[in-house]
Amino acid sequence: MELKNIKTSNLENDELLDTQKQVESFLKFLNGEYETVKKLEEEKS
Amino acid sequence: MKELVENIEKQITTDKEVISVLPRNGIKAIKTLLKTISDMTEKYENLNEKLLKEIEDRYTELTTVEENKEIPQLEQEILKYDMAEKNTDTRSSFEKMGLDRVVYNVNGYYKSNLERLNKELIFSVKQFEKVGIKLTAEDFCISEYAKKYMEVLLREAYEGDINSEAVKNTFEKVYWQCSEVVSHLYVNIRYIYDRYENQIDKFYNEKAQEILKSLSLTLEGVEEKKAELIKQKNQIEETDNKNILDKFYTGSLNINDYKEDNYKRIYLELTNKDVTKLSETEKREIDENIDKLNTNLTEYAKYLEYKFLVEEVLQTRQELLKNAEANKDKKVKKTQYELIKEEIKKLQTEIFKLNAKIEKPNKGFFDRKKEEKKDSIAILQRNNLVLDLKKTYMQLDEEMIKQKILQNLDETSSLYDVIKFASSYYGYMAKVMIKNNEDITDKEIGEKAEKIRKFVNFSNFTVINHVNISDTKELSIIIKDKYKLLGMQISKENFEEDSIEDLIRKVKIINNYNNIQKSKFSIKDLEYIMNVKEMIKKF
Repeated sequence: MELKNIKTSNLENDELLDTQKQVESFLKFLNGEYETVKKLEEEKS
Repeated sequence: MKELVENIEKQITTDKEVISVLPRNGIKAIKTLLKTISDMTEKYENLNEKLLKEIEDRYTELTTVEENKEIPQLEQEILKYDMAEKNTDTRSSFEKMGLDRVVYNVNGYYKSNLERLNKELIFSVKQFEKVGIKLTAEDFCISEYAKKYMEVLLREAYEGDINSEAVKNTFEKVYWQCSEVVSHLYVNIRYIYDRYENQIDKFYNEKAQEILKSLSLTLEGVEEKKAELIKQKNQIEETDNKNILDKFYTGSLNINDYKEDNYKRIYLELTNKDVTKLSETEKREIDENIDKLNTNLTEYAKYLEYKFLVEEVLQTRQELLKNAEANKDKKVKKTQYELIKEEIKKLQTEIFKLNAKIEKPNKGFFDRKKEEKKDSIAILQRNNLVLDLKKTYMQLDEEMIKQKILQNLDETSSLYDVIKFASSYYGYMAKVMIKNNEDITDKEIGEKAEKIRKFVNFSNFTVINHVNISDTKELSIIIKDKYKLLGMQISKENFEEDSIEDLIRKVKIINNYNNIQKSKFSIKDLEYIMNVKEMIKKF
């Protein structure tokens, strides 16, 4: 599934809010992972 | 859940797995992983932006509501008829001018402050001006202290600063010459009113005729028209989009109370009916009764707050009737009220005689000492008389209330008539409030008096205007019996002190829920709005 093709207008109000929460939480996860891996890179180099 | 939501969830899970399985054991692998995370972050950030934009657009669309244009128009109309009522009703000109509040506050100055005193003094001057009497310092002739103070206060008021240094300094000066200067000012306002009473009465009579003629109504007609307009406004407000939204925004309504399950549960509790099994006609009929019950309970709850006023008036009336019965065979030439009025006239004459003596220029150099001594004695006598006059005016107020209670209230009077009567006299209201709560401050009295007057003048009464003072049945029982007959599950216990609030709350929830259905919002819309509002707070 291509994220950029998602039609947000097709989501119901509550689905829209839930999805945004999930995406936000996943973004936090990605940021955390990036920080961890970045530290790992610094340690290795 | 819709397919789209499931797909997004699945995609997130898959991407999470991709991150966790990608190797991170060598520098090359780490660089690849960082690139993957960055690409992924970019994609999800784009999606997040898109989602936030959609959330915002929907929120803006839902919350862009305007107040029904009829509401401010009705408010204007209500104020017009309220003004007409205030100018034509049976209160005396003293109350119509608002002097009842002024004299109470001037009299209570020692508990208040100089700024408030000045405000009230200037207000009274303006009120006299409105009825065609332009006052100058010369009208404050009860004593040289009152005159001196008003000379400066009026001059400074003209300059736009009633609390200027000049005013403060003058007060300081006259206060040390006569610490009862505020009593002098109190007496003086009352004296000015007495002096111009006929002229003021004439002004209001002509104004009343003019207003009623222009509206082609009688006083009763004005009252009925105002009540009708208030009812109309309340009905529109109940389903008005902006009004509903504001209630949630300000926290006066809580979205959690309006969840469907809660509605169904309370509906069943109040009506013993499963709302989902009612026909449209059945539901409409029950909802109409709930709406009426809600109006009645709101009025009842407000009435309970101010019941102490009604009780005091009715108790005084009983005592007066008992006294009248006991003295019915005694021949009385003049009423107590008339006797006090005479006493006031007598005191005023004596005061002005002494004032003439005080103001008379001294004869000659050798007699000056003797004259000054005489003046001091005259000033002392006059000051004592001013205090006597103040006391007599206060007695007159008490007597006036007694007389008005007997004149205006009889067995056919309603509870509304009584509370309206009590609310017309500021000093009386204040006295009863103090009797009811001796710790109440002047400021609190002012706020409460305003609330009571607002309740009396701007409510659509459906209960207390139909219950006579001779009714022996309790008001709560009257309401309960009516709605019990209509099938509502309410009992005497619901009206007990610790239960009434809960009953009101439940009835309000059902009524508000029904009104929301008639607005542009669904409960889901409101849930969405409140959720987004919380989100915005966190940003």
